[in-house]
Amino acid sequence: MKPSPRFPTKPRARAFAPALFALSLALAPAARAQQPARADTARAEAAADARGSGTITVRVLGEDNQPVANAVVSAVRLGSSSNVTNDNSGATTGRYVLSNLDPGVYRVSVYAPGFVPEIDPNAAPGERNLFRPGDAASFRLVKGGVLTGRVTDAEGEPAVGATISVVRVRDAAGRPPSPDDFGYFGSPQRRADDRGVFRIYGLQSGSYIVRAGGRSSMSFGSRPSAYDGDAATYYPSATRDGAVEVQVQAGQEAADIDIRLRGERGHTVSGTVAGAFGTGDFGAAGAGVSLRRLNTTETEGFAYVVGAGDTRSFDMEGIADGEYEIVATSGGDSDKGSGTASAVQRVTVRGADVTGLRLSLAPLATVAGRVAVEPLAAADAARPECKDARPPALYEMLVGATRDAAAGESPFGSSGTPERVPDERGEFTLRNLTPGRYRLGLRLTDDSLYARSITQAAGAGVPAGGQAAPANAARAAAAADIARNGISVGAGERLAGVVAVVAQGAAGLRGRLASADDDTERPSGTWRVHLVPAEAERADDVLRYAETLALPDGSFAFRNLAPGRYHFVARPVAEAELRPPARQRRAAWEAASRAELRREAEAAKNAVTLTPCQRAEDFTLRVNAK
Amino acid sequence: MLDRCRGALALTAALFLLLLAPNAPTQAQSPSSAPQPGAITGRVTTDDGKAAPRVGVALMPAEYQPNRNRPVSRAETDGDGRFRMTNVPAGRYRLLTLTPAHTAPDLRGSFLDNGRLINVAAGETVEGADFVLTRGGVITGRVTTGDGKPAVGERIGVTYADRRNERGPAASAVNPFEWETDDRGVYRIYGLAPGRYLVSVGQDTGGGVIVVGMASPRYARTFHPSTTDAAQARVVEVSSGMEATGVDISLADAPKSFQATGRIVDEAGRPVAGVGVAHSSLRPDQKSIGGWGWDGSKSNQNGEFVLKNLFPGRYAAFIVKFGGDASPAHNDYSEPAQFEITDGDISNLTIRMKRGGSISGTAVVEGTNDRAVIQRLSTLSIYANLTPAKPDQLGAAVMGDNKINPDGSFRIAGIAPGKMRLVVGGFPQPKGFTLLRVERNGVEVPRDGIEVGPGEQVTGVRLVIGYGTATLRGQISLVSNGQPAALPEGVRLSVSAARAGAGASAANFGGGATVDARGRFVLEGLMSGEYELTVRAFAPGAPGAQQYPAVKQTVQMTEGGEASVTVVYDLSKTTETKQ
Repeated sequence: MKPSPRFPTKPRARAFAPALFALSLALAPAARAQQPARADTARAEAAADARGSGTITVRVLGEDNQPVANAVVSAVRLGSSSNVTNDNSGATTGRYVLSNLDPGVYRVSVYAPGFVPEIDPNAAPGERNLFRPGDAASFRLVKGGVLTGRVTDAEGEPAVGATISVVRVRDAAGRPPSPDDFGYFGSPQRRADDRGVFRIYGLQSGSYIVRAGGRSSMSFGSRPSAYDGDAATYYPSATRDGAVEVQVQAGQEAADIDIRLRGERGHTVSGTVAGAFGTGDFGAAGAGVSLRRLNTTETEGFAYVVGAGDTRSFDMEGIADGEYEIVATSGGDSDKGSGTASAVQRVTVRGADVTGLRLSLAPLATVAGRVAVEPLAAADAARPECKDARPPALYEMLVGATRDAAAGESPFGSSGTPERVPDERGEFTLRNLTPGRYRLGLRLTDDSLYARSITQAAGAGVPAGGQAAPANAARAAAAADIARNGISVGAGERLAGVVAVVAQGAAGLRGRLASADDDTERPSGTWRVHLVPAEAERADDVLRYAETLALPDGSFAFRNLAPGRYHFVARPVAEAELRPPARQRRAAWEAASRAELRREAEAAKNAVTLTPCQRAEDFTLRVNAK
Repeated sequence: MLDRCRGALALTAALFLLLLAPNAPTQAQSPSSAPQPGAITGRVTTDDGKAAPRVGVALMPAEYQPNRNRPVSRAETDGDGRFRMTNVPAGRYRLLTLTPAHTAPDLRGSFLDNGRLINVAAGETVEGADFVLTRGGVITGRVTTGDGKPAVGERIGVTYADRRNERGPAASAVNPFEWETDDRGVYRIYGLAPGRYLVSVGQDTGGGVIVVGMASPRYARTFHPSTTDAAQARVVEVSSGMEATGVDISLADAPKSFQATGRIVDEAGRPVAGVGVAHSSLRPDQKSIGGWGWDGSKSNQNGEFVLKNLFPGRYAAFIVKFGGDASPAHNDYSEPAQFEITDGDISNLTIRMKRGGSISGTAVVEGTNDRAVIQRLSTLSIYANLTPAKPDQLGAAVMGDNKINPDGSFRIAGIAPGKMRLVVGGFPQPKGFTLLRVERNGVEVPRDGIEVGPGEQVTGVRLVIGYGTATLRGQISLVSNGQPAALPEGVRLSVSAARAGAGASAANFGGGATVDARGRFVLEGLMSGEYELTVRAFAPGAPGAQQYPAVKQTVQMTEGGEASVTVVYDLSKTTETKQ
């Protein structure tokens, strides 16, 4: 498959119109005064657009260019947790229609049992498969990889009914999988049959660890297995630390993945969940309790707790010795729901059961604000590169919060990284934030935009309960630069007054890494490329710093850059930096690491000046890979 | 396959829980922690009389407990097949062997409640919990689509060939949801009891079954070897330990399905965005629901919705009201849009939302001043069952949890005109609570509920709730024609207890129990006073089975006390044969 079309060939003017209407309300008064005619036109177009509804057509074919049976196409609207549209009606034609779509940017995915979408490893995972109503998408499905083998118990007898699951620990290029790698669904799980044989299919290429026995997330009401209470055994017959990775290629079979169970009794982790359940589509019914191996995304135990009072207990068996984190979360699963969550607790299992844990659900915090758009200055609008500039749409501006965890603090938020599109007034509310420090950011799916500033007006904090907060020193400072300083939220706190300014006229840059010795050689290993603002007065403007992981072929791309002068820095990336908790941190967040970047950048003497709307291509960045 | 995608799985799980919640809270009481732990001993042998060593044995709570879906105790048999479980708290359990490739006499139709029922009293040692294992049979084959390609991830149905009126899958220790084809189209079903079976793939699209979302049916139900007519299906014979191979199925083409589109509007005709739309198939009388489903999709900003995968038939579309206060439809109900699919798509449906009525009031606990008990009121939920005034008022159910606030107040909104019956419970059922009566302005309401007119705001409703801690232990003595007797294969006993003098609006969720293999039962959380016990034999999953009479007996309970009772049940008094 080609990298997904970021810019569909079909003009999107109509799709933009309703959002522009909205935008006219969000613009600063000065900006509105500049463009009365455009806003009026937009209003008329918005009304016209409201009569129809958006459609994305999706073509799904197999390797033989024939439709694939049982394929299901789904679209999730970015910035809206509960807006999902499915279609499975293309079984005979391969043509699917996602209809009734509101204006927005959608991530389209395809699932067909046994198959995986063909993925271009040289396309950035977070940018794959984004489409807007009116677009046509195309997917090619290939047969997924297969893992098969036999599980025997400590005596060599077939381990009938033992649960087998796999975790993808590397992608096809050998890197830890990106959290944005949507070509892969969950962690498939099966049971060994009466001969001890298992077969897990439909796997994306990559490296997997295979675990047998231990707790089973399959057992929603099902009969327990004789091996559920054991600590899991990892292929070939190891604990997690000794697990041997198995390489799987799409379309191929990794056979003889035989596992001899160690037969070691696992321990129990149990406790109770206190506090109020959250609300949401499925809220108020219960809370999920997850036990995760420390600093991984591997869930070792899960319980869904319902009921009330002393009956709200959880109880996970088959837990191996090790370091874990446990958290309870409830609700918050709709755009309007309010979630609750417990603090993340560290759990050490060492030779005995862990009992009596108490997870107290507390309201989560919200951060509200608005997005304002700064239009292109008249002089810039006249530039030939900017002549195609379109009116920006609010749904192309996703506001998100990333946990900025201190050393030793869990990096996990309770509900992942919330990301929201502003409403028609440009207003947004980020919900379900666990207490702690966050970095607010803008993900702009329109390349012509860049983030100018993210600030919080003075005295805008409102604590839980709705009373005005006594102005504290940090918040009293006029329009705090929260892009630079981050923002801290307490349990149930409701912060407001965030203003994110998005400007038009962004530049972009593409290039590739080359070895310092040989221009045609791609340096080995994984590299991260940083852009560092060259102007001294921008030294602490965090939004002027950009970083991106070079793709396996050495190419890299920056989008949504503020015009200006930048230095390049390329740094090799250790594998640990691609795994949690390090992977979500940005080098520009802290003053010390910004200073270090600048020193490195100035020494490297690799600079570029980007003008408004410029698309700079074909940069070659030479790095010393030794 | 259970890992289609996380969202779908979460949705399924959530729906399952929500579906269970209003109906299922029977007697999910946790085994009480007793100071004197008991023990269970037994022996596991194979059907040739030999000891079965190293067999796992598990003790599960008798009633499904969502928060504790794992064994209370585990044991493994020794070289002589013997096992001993110690530290067993008093309680009600299911005892089972962890041998999915084998069958045992205690296997039942539902994989959820497999195992032998055992009630353990405080400090009791239950001996002789023996099992005889029979190696199950295997059915294996390959499923292909019309063009000869493997049918991947298709669910296999195995039903009894000679009991065609049973809709459920054949009994096995394996969860039948795990019976599916792999990437080669190959399946393997094991642990089947010797017998004659029909093997099929696909969905019965004519039975009023609604399947939505990712699991929608693509194929008409096709039996081995290749027929959609159950009468033409080839029977597969399975004997103990034998493998029936080559049970292949060639699937018929997927039946063509259609879609229906429309809009949701409010009373002023304005579009309503963000509301879920479910659909139901209508039976020929068009009055009842044949099952309904929602794939999680919601109306867009123009109020538009689309329903997919509809096969020819009559349907109704209506709104679903998940999400409590957060739902835009919280205070409303909908007039469903009825339509018929014949051979094409349907468009321009209109679902009209209407302002619903509401019921509000307070809940009180009678007979105790214990603050701890009163505080637990807010742990109860109110289940609201509506009998709509208009028989075709589909989807009028008030979904979700209707909570009792800490001050005892409650409000249920979005009620279609009709009679609303209120019942108090929880999932799991909070121990000891009973709904004694429902009053409106000081007068008990009738059994069929409170009349709610169009948009009527009913206030002043009082839920009077009782609380008890007494325990009744019972023993059923089975006789037939004056002689001690045993229960016929497949027959079980149940016990329910009704408090004497309970009002018409009373509802006792916790008043029933199943009887264990030794004829014992335990009823907990009873109030003081006289109770009428009703013992009844029944044969689950066998609609043609004999009907047994109910035996009634009264017992007197004192607050917090323990009583025991023996009930004689005469199996020879068969009253009728139910068809």
